[in-house]
Amino acid sequence: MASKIRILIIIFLAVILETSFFPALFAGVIVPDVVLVLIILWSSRKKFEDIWLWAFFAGFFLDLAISQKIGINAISFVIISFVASFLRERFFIAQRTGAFAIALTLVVGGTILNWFLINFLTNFSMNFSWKLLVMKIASNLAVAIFMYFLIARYKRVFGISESKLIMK
Amino acid sequence: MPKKLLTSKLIKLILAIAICLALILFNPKNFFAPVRGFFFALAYPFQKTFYFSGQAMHNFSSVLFSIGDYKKENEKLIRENNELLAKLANLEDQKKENDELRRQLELSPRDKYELESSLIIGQDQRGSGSWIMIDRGRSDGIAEGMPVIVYDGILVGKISEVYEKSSKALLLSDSSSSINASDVQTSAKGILTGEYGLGLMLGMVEQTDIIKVGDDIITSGLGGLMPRGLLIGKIEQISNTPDKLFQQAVVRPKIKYSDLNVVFVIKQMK
Repeated sequence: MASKIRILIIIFLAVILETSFFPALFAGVIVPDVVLVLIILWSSRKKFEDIWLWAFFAGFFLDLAISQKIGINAISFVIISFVASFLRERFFIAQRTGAFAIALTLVVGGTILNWFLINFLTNFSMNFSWKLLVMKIASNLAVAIFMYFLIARYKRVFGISESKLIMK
Repeated sequence: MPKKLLTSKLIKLILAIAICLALILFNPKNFFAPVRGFFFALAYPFQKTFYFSGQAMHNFSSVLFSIGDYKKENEKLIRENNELLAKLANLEDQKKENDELRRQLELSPRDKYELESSLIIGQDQRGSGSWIMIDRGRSDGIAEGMPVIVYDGILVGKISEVYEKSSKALLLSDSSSSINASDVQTSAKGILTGEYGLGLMLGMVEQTDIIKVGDDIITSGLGGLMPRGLLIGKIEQISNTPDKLFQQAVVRPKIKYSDLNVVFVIKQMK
């Protein structure tokens, strides 16, 4: 129970970081998707069964915070966590080295997928700026690098148990 | 075994997608209003603290990056100061002229409204300049549709959602934003819409109306709670709609929305 509350608090803080801290820090120019990166990094270390509900709640919280239709970020996060988890199990699990590069690759792929899904579900169109997308990928990668080492350093805080690969 | 696992996964995925799609399509906005209200009540102190911390770090980094330019900046400021002193005398005359112009153009005087000052505590995280969160809500008398301006009577958006201690304001640049506007110089009227956070577009301007590059655009006061005379921006580019029925113009906002710190909500006319 305690670890579930801890994960809930982490998601809540990530939502606040994404909607209040980073927009102020970067003057709203480009804001990293902290919650998305967190979900991707979690998905790259966990089974889909252990992460899908958290991905759903993370998206739900973000939808609440940015006052848009409930479900838009939630659906995107669930799909991305499925894809990330699937890729990890099918292709990457055998690789003992390069976990860092794999995680970053998943972040790049997840960012692109999220960008298209959110654009489509919000505006029902695919009109967007390539420049903004590239900047978004760069900012997400920067956050992912920091967060990757943070998670690796404080595995237990983030509910990671490497030996069992389950959400505690 | 792996096949069974995949099936279980897929069921969960399909279930989650189905729930989300139902939420998106049926959009039970009012159903989630209390949940959202509770979330914002809980998040409010965090949002405020995080936003101010982010802003402080932004200011600090700006100072660090510009430290090398201080000497040049100082010399420039001294030079500018001398020039400004010379211009000060002229400004007194211009102020009188400006007041007269405002009266003639029916631009809204600043002391005409009951304003509620508010700090920004959050903004669009997709960087598209669609909305801002402010630290004033229902308990401060804020209501949906109220115009949001900055210090000089420049319109930036209107209140779209109100919570107990915070509100969401939709910026003019949001794609769903639409207000009646007019050209100060020629009185041509049109509808100003947001361009997916990329800028503003004045549309539905009749072919017989005259609009020119550089003209000022203000609110026309037609419909809704929006008063007449709030400044929006300047016309940057003019073109015809594809069907040639109307003219349209790209409008450059008077201020950069991402740089906003403090805004004022017009609660009512005095």
